[in-house]
Amino acid sequence: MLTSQDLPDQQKGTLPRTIRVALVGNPNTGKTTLFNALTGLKQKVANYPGVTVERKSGIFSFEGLQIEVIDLPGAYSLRPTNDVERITRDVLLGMMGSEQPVDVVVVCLDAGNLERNLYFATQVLDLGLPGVVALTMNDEAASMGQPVDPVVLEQHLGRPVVETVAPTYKGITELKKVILQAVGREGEDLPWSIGEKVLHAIEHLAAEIGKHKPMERRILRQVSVELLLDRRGTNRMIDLPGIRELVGKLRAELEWAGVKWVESESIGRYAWIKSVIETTRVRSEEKFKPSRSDKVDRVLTHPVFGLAIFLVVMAVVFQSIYTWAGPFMDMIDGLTAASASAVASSMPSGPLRDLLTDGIISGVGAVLIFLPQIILLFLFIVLMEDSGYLSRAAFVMNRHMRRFGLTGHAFIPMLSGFACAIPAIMSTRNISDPRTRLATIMAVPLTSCSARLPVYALMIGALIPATPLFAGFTTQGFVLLGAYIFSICAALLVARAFRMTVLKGRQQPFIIELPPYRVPSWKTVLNSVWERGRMFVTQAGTIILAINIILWFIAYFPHDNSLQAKYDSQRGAAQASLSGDELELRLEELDSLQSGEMLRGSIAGKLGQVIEPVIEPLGFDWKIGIGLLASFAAREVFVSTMAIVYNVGEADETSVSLMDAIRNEKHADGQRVYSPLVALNIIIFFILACQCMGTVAVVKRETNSWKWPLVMVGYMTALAYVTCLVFYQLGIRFFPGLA
Amino acid sequence: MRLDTLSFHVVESVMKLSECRSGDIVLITEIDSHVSGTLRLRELGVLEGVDLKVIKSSNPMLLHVNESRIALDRELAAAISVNYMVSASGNQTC
Ligand SMILES: Nc1nc2c(ncn2[C@@H]2O[C@H](COP(=O)(O)OP(=O)(O)OP(=O)(O)O)[C@@H](O)[C@H]2O)c(=O)[nH]1
Ligand SMILES: [Mg+2]
Repeated sequence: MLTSQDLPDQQKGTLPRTIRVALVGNPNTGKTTLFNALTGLKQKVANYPGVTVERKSGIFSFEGLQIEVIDLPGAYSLRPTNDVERITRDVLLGMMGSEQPVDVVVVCLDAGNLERNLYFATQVLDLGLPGVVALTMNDEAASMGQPVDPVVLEQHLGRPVVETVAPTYKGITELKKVILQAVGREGEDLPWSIGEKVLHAIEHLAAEIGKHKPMERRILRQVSVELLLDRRGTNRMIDLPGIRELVGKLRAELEWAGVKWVESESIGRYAWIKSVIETTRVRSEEKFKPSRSDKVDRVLTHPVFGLAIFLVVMAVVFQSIYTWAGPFMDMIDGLTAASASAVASSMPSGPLRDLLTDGIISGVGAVLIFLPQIILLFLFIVLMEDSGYLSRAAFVMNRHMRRFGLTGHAFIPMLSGFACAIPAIMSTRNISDPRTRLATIMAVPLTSCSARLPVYALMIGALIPATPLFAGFTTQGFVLLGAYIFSICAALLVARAFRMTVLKGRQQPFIIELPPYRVPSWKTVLNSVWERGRMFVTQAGTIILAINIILWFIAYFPHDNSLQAKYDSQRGAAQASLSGDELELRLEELDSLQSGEMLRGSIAGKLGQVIEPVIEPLGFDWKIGIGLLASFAAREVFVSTMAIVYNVGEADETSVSLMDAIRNEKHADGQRVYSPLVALNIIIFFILACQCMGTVAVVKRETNSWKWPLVMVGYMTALAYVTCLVFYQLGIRFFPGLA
Repeated sequence: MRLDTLSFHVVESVMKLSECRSGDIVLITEIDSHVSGTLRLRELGVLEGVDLKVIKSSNPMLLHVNESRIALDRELAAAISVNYMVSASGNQTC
C-alpha cells in the first residue's frame, strides 16, 4: 500500500495540496464511467460518441490526499474539428486562461479499438505531462478473442498501464495508486518520427512562438504542430505577431521540397502505432470477420428497413406510453382525489381549504399524474442511447437530413430533444460546421420535449377516443406518435429555412463512428430514469407548486361574496319549485354558472379575457388563455392551471377529474369548448411555441449573443400563431365533424 | 494470380473507394488531401497502406477499418483511391 508517507521525500515535497487529474481519450471509451467510479458522481454515460460536452470535475480522497478529477469530452485528435474537442485541447495545452495546468493525465484507451485510440494517446503523451494509461473495455476485447496485453503496452508507451472495467469497479483502486505515483514524473518522448524536414520547420516555428509566449517546451511543440500542419486550425496563437506569415512561409518551403506536410503527422504516428500493435494484441480471429453488431447492422442500417424499423420502434414507444402507464396514472389520480377529500372533510370551509384542495393538491396532482408516462419515455430514450442504437439512427437519417441542409450528426440532438431541449442544444457542440450547428440549435426547441408530454396526454386522454386500430395500437397512441413526427418535421423544415437563407453554406462531410451494440447496463438505465423522475417530481413540488399558489390567488381573488348570496337564493328558489332529476340538473347548472362568474371576475379571469380576442380565432377561450399565459413559466403548468381554473369556486367538496372537466366544459351558449379540433390545436401550439426560459438562456450561452435567442423566440411565436390559426380556420370549414 | 490478369489489375488500381461494393476488401493507395474531411479520416486511421472492408456501399458508406466501424459520405469516399484485395465476388486479385 502506498500512502503519502511512503513516498520518497523529494516527491512528497512536490505534491500539491489538491492533485488535479484530467481524464482524456477518444469518444465513447468509458471516460465518464471511469469518472463516476472514481468520484462516486453520476454524470451521464451512454453508448455513443459525444455524450460528454463540457468539462466536469469531481473530488475523491485517497491515502489522505485530495484528488480532483476532470472529465473531458472525447476527442479523436488534439487538432480539434468541433467545440467539444476544442475544450479538451484547451485544457491539455493550458489554454484555459487562469486555470492551472493538470498534474496528471489519465488517457483512456479502448482495447477494442487500439489503433485509433493510440493516435490521440500519442498526441497527449507527447505533451510530456505525467501520464497514466487506463486500458478500458479489455473485457469486451477478450470476449471477442483479441485481448490487449497491458504489460507489453506499458513497455511501448513508457507509462503505467492499468486495466480497468469501470462498470464493475475493476482496477479502480489500482488506478488511484498509480495516479498518485505518477505525480511529478514527466514521461519520455515516444520514438515516432514526423520526418526531418517537418520537424525542422516545427522547431523553427516553436522558437518563434516561444519568443512571444513562453511555454513549456513540449507544449510549445504541440502548438507549433497544430499551427503548421492543421489547415482547419482554430488556434488563436496564429495571431501572434509574425506567426501567420511564418507558417505560410514554412508551408511553402515544405511544399517546394516535395514534403507531404499535411499527411506527415498521421503517417508518422500510425507507422509507429502499427509496430506497437503487432506485439500487444493477440488476434485469434481472422481480420474483418463480421462481429455480432455487424450482423444486427445488416438490418438496422438498411436504408429502407432501417427507417421502417425506426418508425415501428417509435410507434411502439408512444403506444406503450398510453397502455403501460394507464394503471399507474389511475393510482396517482386516486391518491390525489383521496387526499383532496381528506383535507376537505377535516377542515372548515373557507379560502385556506380551497387553496389546499383546489390550488395545491389538485394542481400539483394534475401534473404528477403524468410521472409514469415521463418515466416510460425516459426509459425508452436511455435504452436507445445505451444500446448503441442512436448512432445507427443518425446513420440511417443522414441522407434525409441532407435534404434539410443538415447531417446525421444533427439527428442525435433532435432525438435527445424528446427528453429536454437544454442538453440537446448543448450536444450540438459535436457538430463541426458553425452554420449547420446554428441551424440545428434553432430547430431543436421544436422537437417535442418531455415537458410537453403532460399537455399532449391531457388533451389526447380527454378528447381523442381510444379506438383500437390494429395489433394493440389505438388512435390515442397514433395521435401521440403524430405529435412527435409533426415536431420533427417542423424542426427539419425550420432548419432548412435557416440553411437556405441566413445560414447558407456548403455541406460538411459526414463522418461518424458506430460503436458496438452493448447490453444497456441496468445501473445506467436506472440511474438515468431515476434522475429524470426525481427532477420531474422536484419541479412539480417547487416551481409548479409556487406558480400554482400564485395562480390560485389570482384566480380566487377578488372574491365577491355577494355572488355566493345571489346563487344561494337562486338555489333556494329552485329547491322550492323543482324536484328529482330536474332539481339535480338545475343545481349543477347553477354551480358551474357561479364558478364561471367568479373566475371571470378574478385577476386571472381578467387577464384571460384581455388576450381572448387574440386567441379566439385559434379556437381558444379565455380560460384556455389563462393556461397559455401561465405555461410560459413552464409548459407543464398548463395542466395544473387548467385544474385550478376548472375547480376554483367549485361549490361542492370533491374536485372533478380534470379530464372530465375538460370534456364537459361549455361556452356561455351551451356549446362545448373542447372539440378534437381544439385539442389538436392546443397540441400544435405547444409543439411550436417557445415557452421555456431555460432554452432561451442556453441558446444565449451557446451562441454568445442575444441575437439568436431573440430570433428563436420571434420565429417560434409567429410560427405557432399562424399555424394554429390556419389549422383551426381550415378545420372548422372542412372538418365540421371534428369541431 | 495468373500473369495475364496483371493488366486488369493495373486498371483496377485507380478505383475510388466510392465505387466499391459491399463486401470488398481494399487497400488504400492514395487520399486527396485537398478534400475537406480527409484529415479527420486520416486521424481515424483511414490512410495510405491501410486495408479496409466495405460493409455497406450505400450512402453513407460503412467501413470496417482496423476494429472501428466508420460511416462516411460517398462524396468523401471518392477522394480515396484503393486497390482491390478481395472483391465481393470472391476472387483474390493481390
Ligand atoms: N464492457 C465495458 N463497457 C464499458 C467499459 N467502460 C465503459 N463502458 C461502456 O461504454 C459506454 C461509453 O461509456 P462513457 O463513459 O459514456 O464513455 P465516454 O468516454 O465518457 O464517452 P464520451 O463522453 O462520448 O466521450 C457505456 O455504454 C459504458 O457502459 C468497460 O470497461 N467495459
Ligand atoms: Mg463522457
